[in-house]
Amino acid sequence: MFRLRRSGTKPTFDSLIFKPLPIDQRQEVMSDSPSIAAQRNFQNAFVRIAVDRSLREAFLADPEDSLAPFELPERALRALADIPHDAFSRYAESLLTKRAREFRSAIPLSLSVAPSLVDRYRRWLAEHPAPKQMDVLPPGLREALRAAGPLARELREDPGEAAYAADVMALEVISAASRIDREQRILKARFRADLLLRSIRRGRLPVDPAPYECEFRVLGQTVDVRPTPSFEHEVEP
Amino acid sequence: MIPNASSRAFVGAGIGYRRLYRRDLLSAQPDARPAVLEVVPGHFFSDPERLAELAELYPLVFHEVACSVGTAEGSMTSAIDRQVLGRVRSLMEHARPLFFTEHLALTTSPQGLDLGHLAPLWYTRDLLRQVSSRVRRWQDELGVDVALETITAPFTIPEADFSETEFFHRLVEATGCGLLLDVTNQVINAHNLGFDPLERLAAYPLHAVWQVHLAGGQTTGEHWVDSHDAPVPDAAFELLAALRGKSPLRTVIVERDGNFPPLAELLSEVERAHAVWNESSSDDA
Repeated sequence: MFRLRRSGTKPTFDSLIFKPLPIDQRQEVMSDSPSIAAQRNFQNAFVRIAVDRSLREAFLADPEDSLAPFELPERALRALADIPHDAFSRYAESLLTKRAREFRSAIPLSLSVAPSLVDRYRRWLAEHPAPKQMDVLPPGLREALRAAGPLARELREDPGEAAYAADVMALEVISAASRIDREQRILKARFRADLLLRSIRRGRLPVDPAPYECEFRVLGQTVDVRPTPSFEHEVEP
Repeated sequence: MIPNASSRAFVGAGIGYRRLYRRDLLSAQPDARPAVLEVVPGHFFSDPERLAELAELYPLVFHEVACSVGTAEGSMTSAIDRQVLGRVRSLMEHARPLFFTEHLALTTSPQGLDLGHLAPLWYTRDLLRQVSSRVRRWQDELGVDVALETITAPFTIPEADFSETEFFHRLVEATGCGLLLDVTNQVINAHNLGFDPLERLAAYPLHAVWQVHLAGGQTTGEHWVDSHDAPVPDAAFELLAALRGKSPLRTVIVERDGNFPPLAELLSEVERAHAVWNESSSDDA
């Protein structure tokens, strides 16, 4: 439990309360303020450094050179370059960790089949920063939906993963999303992922289930499945 | 009768609503309920009826996390404002909040990249104009009071025109908005950035603090984390008490986002917050 550390020799709280400067004095202080264009470029650079690992590494090695594309005025460049690098790195890492935690919460069943998904997502996210999206999905599920296609391809190409892992993950994600936003989503799968998910939910991991090429149509609470003769594995958002 | 947006009095202490407490909150007897719930509007956009059920029993504060009030103006920010505010307005047909809050922070770049978390701002004069303009627009469009929250700062951005506290002063002066002061953030920032929490507290526009957030964090190791997954520390209650006679508080909210205790345990922290504030207020009277 932490407490305030304060010695008896410090000034009283009342004596510290801030009294703003008169307005005319403030204007003097602010006479060389950066323009809003500088602020905009600053923010674009700041966010990109925070979410893009390769740019961040370049920035930490050589701020001026790495930030050239952002056309920052000197003051904005100094503002970015003078942020303590260790604190910036720690902050960027905390963003990845938060996203990974949210992602993990969106795929509880798939994780029991493919625990590698969280690490795979972290690696993918570091190279594919998230765009702002205005939907009604919680952040972890929104990200799981965005990553479902690429991660499903990775799982399918990895012989060390269960053959059905990609289908299970994709169906878990699109089902959860459609329950919330009631959008229809389609998944072409190679296994009866709905039955596999049911088994996993009951604590039984399927072992070598028989392939069953099919198409899932998910809308709200409803999951329709129909067999398909041949297809390419695909997640339609 | 449940207080509404016209109420400026102290409503009491409550919790940040989390879905796992829903059943307990809806079935609680009146004397076992928190005085207020803070809800994230975005959690109810897909099912507003669920919010209406809460609003029948509790005064609500709307607390958004996705508006990125600090993003420099552009087509992206206009689109965010339009969509989020439109949805929040729609929700108000189901539940009218005491007031609306968001963080004084950046979460989205002008080009539309999403941090997924809060970032501190580069406090420049032109940004102050833009944030002021946006807050006034929210006040007009939502028709309720707006307050902005202090954040846990991983660092301070240099070469600014203002400190965070002075930016808040200017913003309050320009818009009449309120301040949502997260006192746990102050304790954590003080440790991580090396300042005196009471000195920093005194630098905010205390006359505009309408709400206080209390939470617990991870306080082992060199760098403390505002993780909202532990009991509220004594230091945060001390900062709450320090606001006695200085701030027109309307609510105090205990936040919890992990290691969820039973509701009764969380409500004991709410009761303590209520007692601290009432004791403070009566001491001061």
